This record gives sequence, C-alpha cells and structure tokens, in this order.
Amino acid sequence: MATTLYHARVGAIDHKAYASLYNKTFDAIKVKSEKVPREGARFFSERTTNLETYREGEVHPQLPAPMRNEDSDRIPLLNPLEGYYQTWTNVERRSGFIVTERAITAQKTRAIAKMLTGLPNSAKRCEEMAYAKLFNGGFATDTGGDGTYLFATDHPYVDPQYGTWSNAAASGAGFTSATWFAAWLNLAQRKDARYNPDPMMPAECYFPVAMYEDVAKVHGSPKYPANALNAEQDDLFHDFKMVPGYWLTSSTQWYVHAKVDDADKGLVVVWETKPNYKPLSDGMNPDIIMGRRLKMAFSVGGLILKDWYANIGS
Amino acid sequence: MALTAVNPEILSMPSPQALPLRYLLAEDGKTWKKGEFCILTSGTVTPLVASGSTAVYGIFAEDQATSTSTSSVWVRILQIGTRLAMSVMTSGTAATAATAEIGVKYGARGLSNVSYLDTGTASGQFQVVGPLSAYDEYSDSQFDTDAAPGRIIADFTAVS
Repeated sequence: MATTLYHARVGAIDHKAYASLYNKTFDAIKVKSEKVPREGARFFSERTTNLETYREGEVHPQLPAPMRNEDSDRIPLLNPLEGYYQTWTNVERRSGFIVTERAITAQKTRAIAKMLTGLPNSAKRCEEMAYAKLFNGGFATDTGGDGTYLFATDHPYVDPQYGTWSNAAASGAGFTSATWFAAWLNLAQRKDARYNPDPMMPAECYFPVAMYEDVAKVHGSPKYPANALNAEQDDLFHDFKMVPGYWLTSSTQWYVHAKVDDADKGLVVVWETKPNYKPLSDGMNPDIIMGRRLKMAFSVGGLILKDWYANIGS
Repeated sequence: MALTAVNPEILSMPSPQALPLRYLLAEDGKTWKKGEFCILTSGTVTPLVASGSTAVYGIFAEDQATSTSTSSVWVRILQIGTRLAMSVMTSGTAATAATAEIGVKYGARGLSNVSYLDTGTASGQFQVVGPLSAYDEYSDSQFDTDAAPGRIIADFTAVS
C-alpha cells in the first residue's frame, strides 16, 4: 500500500519542517537533482522595457507594381501599408524563502543549502510555462494583433482586399509525410501584405514528446509517403530540426517554425525585470539568518505569427 | 469575396500632388475610419451613406471610433482631377470591372467602413478611366483585379 507523505508548508525553513534532516538514524539523505528543460526561448524575440506595458506595431514596405504610365501622364503615387499592433502588459512575480539559524546548526545531514537552488530554477520554469502557454492556447485562447487566434485559418491580410491567410491546418491530423508536406507547402506559399509571394522554409518542428516516434519516422524516412510503393523522398523532408516539447500540454498538437530573422519572429517576450535575487531578513528576529527574494516581471505574446504553421492534431 | 475596409486609393491629382488637409466640423453621433469617403451635409462632414451619394467631398484623414458631439476632424478634400483606384459594386453587390464602364460617370456608396464606386447609380462625380487590370496587367494575372469585387481607375470630376 502506498505511503502518503504530508508536508508542513509553513513558509519558514526550520528544523521542524524537515524532520529527516535532523534524525540521527539516517546514514544519508540525497538531494535530488532538478531539471528544467529549456526549449521555448529559441522561438521568441526578446524585448526590454522599463514600463509596465509594451506596445509593438508593424509597417509593411511592399508597394503595388508600377502601372503603365508615360511621359506627360501624372505619376501614380503609392502608399506603404500600416500593419497590426499588439500591447502586452508585464506581470511582476515574486517568491522567496527564509531559513532559521537552528535549521542550519542542528542538521545531521547538511542538505538545506543545496535545497535552496530551487529558487532560480523556479524562475526558469515560470519562463518556460509562459512560453508553452501560447502554444497550448494558440488555437482557442490566445490572440494576436489581428484579433484572431495565434494559430488560425482566418488571419486577415494587412490589405483586406486579399482576404485571409492561414497558419493552421484546416483539419487536425497527426504527423505524417503528407501532413508535413502540407505544412511545408503552407509556409512555401505564404504571401506578404500585398499578396506577393513571401515563401518561408521550415526550420524546426516543435512537438510533444508523445509524437517523437511519428516525427522521427518522417524525419528519417527515405520514402514519400512513408510506404514502400512510393518515390524517393526529397531532401527537403529531412531539412528541419526536431524540437521535442516537454512543456506542451497537448499530446497531439504540433508546430512548424520557419527560418526567419529575429525581427520577423511573431512571438515576443518582453522583459521588464529579469529574474533577480535580494537577501531577506527580519530585523526583529535575529534567528532568521538567511533568506532570498526572487523577482521577475515579464510578458509573452504573439503579434502576427507569420513564421509559424500549426496542426491541432488528431 | 466580401470586402471589408477596402477604401479608394488616391493615385494622383493636379498639382500640388497632395490633397489639401482641412479641419472640419463633423456630424454628431457618427463613426468612421480613416480612408473612407465623407460628404458635406449642412456644414458638417459625415461618412458616405449606404444609399449612395453624388456629393462626395473628401476622405477622412483620421478615425472616429466612438460617436461624439461637436467634434472636428481632419479631412483630405478631393480636388477635380483627382485620380483614384476604387473597388466596384452595383447597388450593394460586389461587381466586376467592365471595359463598358469606361467614360461613364457614377456615384459612390459607403457600407460599414467601405467606400465603393457604385455602378448602380445613374450619375455621379467619378468618371471611369478604365479597369485597373488595363494598367497593371501583371498584378491582374497574380490576383484578378477584374473579378468581383473588381477594381477600376476613376477621375473625380465635380466638387459637390
């Protein structure tokens, strides 16, 4: 029968909260290692601000083609297009710990100091969860500057006479050589603000680890589609990097990121305060001998995810 | 394809090559977006109406997102000879840009932040110069500018 553990969770780290550290019958107590898979930052363009909110917009230099027009006719004048914008509001987050003197001096096993490395890791984890939230909620929760969901089939073009464009599969499907080519084709057929070709090439596939086998099969397969009857697969199918997502909550949704410069990334992280630490103490109680405060303030969001294609999966 | 927020594009005009900006009193209780046609009514400017008008006066230079009372607004005043690229509709339905329209004068119409040339009007201030496809055939081959909603080039011929 399973043994249930109960935890004090009393705020201060004192000698009563971790009885095993002070118990002479233990020969050893191991401090377990802590992993924070780092995966989201590569997809985000970083901004810094000293203000609570950050607003970013886009303008597009594309102009219509020159018309037939000669000599004494008046020259047609053109206007570049103003694009969408988005505002992000930074959220400040804090946490900390305090340790009593006796918690340190009375230890049989000196583990308290090692346990405190969890604070900076919690900041990293917070960052990763914020990044992942946009992927997890990009189909039905989080919206971009154009008012549609980050991954949608109905993004309006900046010049609305061209209708809409899509960065999501019309119907969800798993990862196969056929759906990968659909993703490749969607990116390759992208249009700019004036409906001119603006081809993009996939650089990375970001997927939940549950799909690792499916993605790896396509990534390494010499056949297209992946059955014995068909032709040799073009090298383009291998030309992407597999990025398994440990923070993604869906086991079916997968995402393709195009090769773009940092300035063309649609996902943005805005830092007002990078994680920083300051000592905590209590002037009225000298037995609280150490403490650390963590503070960070940031926001994440998407403006226009032109550099992405997503499939909600099946 | 239904049009949303597709307004006329000014291509050229008699010298000087910019429409004069003027700060005018706006009609109470109306909203509009920049780029829409405005008409002049009883000394105030107001958005072009859905029923069409032969009295287009200018183009709003700024948004009015919420209706207010007694506000003024910057307007670009249309000058005779101003040449525009415009979407075409016939009495509210998006229409093709036909060569047969060349030389004919039509009015304009406004529908939910969209200003069109209305080939359903018997007369008006805008004289069709030709389908946009005749002047920009390469773009037409990429994105059919004749098909509904078609696009034409027209000259503004009369001040209301």
